[in-house]
Amino acid sequence: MSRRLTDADPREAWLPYEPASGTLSRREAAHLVRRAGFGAPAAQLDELAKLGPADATRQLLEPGPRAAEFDQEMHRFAQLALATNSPEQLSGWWLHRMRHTPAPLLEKTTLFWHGHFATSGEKVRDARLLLAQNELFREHALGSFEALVRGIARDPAMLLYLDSATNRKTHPNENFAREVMELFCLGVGRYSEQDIQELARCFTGWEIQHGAFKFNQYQHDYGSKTVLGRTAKMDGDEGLAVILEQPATPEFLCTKLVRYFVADEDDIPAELIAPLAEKFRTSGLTVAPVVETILTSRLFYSDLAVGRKIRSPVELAIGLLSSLETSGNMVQLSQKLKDLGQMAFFPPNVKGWAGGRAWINSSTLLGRANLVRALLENGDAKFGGTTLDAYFARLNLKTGDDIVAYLSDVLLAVPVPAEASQGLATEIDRRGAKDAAALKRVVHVLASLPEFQLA
Amino acid sequence: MFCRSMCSWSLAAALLSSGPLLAAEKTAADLLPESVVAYLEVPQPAGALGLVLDHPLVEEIRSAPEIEKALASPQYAEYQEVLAHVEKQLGRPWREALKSLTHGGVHLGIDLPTRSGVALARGDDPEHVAKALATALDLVRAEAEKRGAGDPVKTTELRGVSIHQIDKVYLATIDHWLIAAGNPGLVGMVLELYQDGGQSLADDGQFQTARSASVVPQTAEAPPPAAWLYVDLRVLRLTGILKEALSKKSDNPPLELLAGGVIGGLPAAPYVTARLDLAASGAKLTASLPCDPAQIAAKREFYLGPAAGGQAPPLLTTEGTLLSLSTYRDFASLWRNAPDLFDEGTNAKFAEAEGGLTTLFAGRNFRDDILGNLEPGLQLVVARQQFPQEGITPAIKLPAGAIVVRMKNPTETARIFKVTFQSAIGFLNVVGAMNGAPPLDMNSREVDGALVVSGEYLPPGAGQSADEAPIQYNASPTIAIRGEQFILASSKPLAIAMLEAVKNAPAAAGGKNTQLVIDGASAQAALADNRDPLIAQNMLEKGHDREAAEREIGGLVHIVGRIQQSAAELTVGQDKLELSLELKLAERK
Repeated sequence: MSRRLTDADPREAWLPYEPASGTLSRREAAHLVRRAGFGAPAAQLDELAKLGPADATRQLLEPGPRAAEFDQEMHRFAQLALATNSPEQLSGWWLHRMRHTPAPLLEKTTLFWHGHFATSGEKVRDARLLLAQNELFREHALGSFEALVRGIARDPAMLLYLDSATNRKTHPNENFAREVMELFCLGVGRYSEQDIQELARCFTGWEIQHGAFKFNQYQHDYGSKTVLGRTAKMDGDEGLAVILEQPATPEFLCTKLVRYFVADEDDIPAELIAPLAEKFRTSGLTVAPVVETILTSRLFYSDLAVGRKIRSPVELAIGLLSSLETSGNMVQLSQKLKDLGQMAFFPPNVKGWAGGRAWINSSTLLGRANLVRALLENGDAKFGGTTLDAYFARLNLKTGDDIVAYLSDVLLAVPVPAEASQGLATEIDRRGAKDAAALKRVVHVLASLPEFQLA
Repeated sequence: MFCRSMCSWSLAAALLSSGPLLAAEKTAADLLPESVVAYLEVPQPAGALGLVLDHPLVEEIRSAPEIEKALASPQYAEYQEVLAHVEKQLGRPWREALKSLTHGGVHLGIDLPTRSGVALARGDDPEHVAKALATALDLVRAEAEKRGAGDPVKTTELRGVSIHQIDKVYLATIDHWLIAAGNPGLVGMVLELYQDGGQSLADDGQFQTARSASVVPQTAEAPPPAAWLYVDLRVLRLTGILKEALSKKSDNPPLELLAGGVIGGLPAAPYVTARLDLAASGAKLTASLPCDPAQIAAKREFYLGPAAGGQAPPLLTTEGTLLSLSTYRDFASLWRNAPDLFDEGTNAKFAEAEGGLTTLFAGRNFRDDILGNLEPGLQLVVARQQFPQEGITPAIKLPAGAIVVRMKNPTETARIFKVTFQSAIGFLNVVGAMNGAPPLDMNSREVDGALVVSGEYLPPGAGQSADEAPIQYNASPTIAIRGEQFILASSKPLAIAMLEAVKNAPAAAGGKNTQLVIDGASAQAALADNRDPLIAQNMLEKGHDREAAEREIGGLVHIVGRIQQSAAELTVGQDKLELSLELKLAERK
């Protein structure tokens, strides 16, 4: 029976990982990039592999010199979706952003918050509001959780999604108050129905009018409320402060972050989370230090983490595209990802995507293989600006063994059986490394293996 | 597969070889049976092809990324290999061979009794013709051998001539002529007409009339067409094919508006012809339908006017005009005659629409009081917009559009239109408010003797950029009323510009039912206005990097700029309707 996070030693799990060589191996760099981003070609992995885990992670945390220019370009791109008011087009825009971002960890964490504070374009049809929410996630993705929660409490897309556009003192709307406690900050069982009702009173007068947040002082309940044992004449921000200072908040958030960055496990021991939660609390609920601790930890590079996540459809597609330096029609891709269960801006419900094993069933497994083939055989696809055979030739990959080993390094978290990789290498040698169609078939086969579904 | 198609192409090229035509010799029409119902002749295929292939624009198109990609594909390389092989077999470059092989033109006919087609090509030398056919047959045999198939060519003899069958195509040569047909009987008829003579297409009086009217005489000013098409409608009508198609009532009002008059002419027209003229400066396609326009107008007065005397008003232009349309249409007459023109389902929709529109137009009967109060004729202008307007520039810049009509009873009708416009703006504001859109601020003022009523969006709110405003800021819906003129425009500046354009409009051109002009330079400028969004779209949807996207969009903008003007025109003559489509290319800069 394979080891699980319950087997991890909480005292050592979050200690910094110190490889014997002092630097990461290519496979370790690939693991880091898969989790802290989506994927990267070997050249980028090799650059990271010149660094130790701490420096490599710090590099991923920093926005990089191209970030401002990239942000401007993405802002211009977003105008297209806004012009047509199409959340679907916006979904394609975000995939493009994920594929080309110079700050993959920021984007990956933005995707985490999108799943955490789920809001769907199925119901909120105003692309402008969805984009504004997405920018809110990005702005605070690695920053202050408190600022993020305060922002989301005023976010028009979220409040419309939760049918909380109006909240009057005579009939406090409990929807947002309930989700803030259950899904956003504390988790089930850490509050009472009375707490929800009282918190809802704090948010009375918080309204959305014409797509913008407004405080209606005439509809606010200025009376005293008791939330989680604290009694005062609180407004919404003060109510949120009570929730954020609960010990359960850092525990709840850190558990979700570990599940997102380390392993798809439902039962993560509280003792394992405790050191992270303490760090989160002492850092004033700043996200980056926790993420940095996770990504530089011994646990992160151990067999309890490597290959212990199932790629989400977005990770699968963007990872493949990024690793092979290719791209495609992102608007179409977003529709195909919908069939696989994960369309950006369209989470299934307020709980977000379940993730983990829920991504895989007989239908999606076949769909994933078909998606890989469609991405590879897209007529416009260029790999590093050229054909796949020329791309491999440029990387000086001459034999089937070279190519399969390279693909394993950049694409796979766990090695494929020797028999399978040998078979693929033989197929390449038989057809010749200049046969782009045959090479695509090999990549397709490799990316359809069960091993490729793991991250 | 591709190689096979290339072989077929080579075969076709071979089919097109011939030599100079002597006056005493038979023409293609002499060799085609009288039962041919459609005839296409291309007098100088090599010349026409050369004009296209050697045109500077084609050279520019070749440098487009998509075309470059196609030219670098293995399929194109395979095609080049086949072409080199053909050239080797023929002993000269393919362009030279084609010129020789099609010296006397290429002629195609569709024969109704055999339901088959026949192609005739006349070369400059019988030996070249025979060699071309032999080369084609060799290629087909070689391709079959490569696939491990047997000899695909079956050879028989008819009237002393060898007939080669490849699948469903029958090939033969006789002197300068090369014959290809889909039916052996049709080949036999051609051979019989060549050897023994007999009643041919050339003997048909109608064919002679049609051909002399549109192909001959040729002068330096009126050179022969690049291609000429003749379709005999008499037989098609007798067989019931045409009758069945035209006896049904329409279920498509837009098509009826666009082409109802032409469709109405088909049941009685004896034939239709079309000619294509090519020059370095552009191309023109002219189709002609002999008919009695007055008779068509009896049923479709809305389209042609009383006794077919309806004329399109003049084309209007203003700065940045991208498209200008002018047409004679009487919408009230169309609505009144709907039961005769359209099927039951469509008429039910007309009745339903009439109810709704009557409500919108303050209880006035839409057909009689609104449409009935408009003079026939409509002018439409689409023009590029200049930004910023009122300090606002939308992120995506759309052209503006305006419609100009004339009112029969301006005093009353103008008031109804104004009230309806105000109601529509109010309705838009209500719907917009529900969707979080900014409201339209309604204003009215007098401009150049006209009452101008406009709705303008309030400036973008806090947090929204006035330099990259949402798409609705392209619009400021406006009406302008001056005397009998009524203008409905999507933007206020265009409505005001149209007041000037109407005042300065030239006199209407006689005999024109519909005119359309598209200006290439303005279309190019409108595309260039949106260069960044187009590049973004290209990157998102094609996965191109910025450099490739810029190259592709830059190429598109450039190619559009090489079109000086596109035009379409429907002319009503005494005894015919004539439709022309013209493309004029700009001088290379």
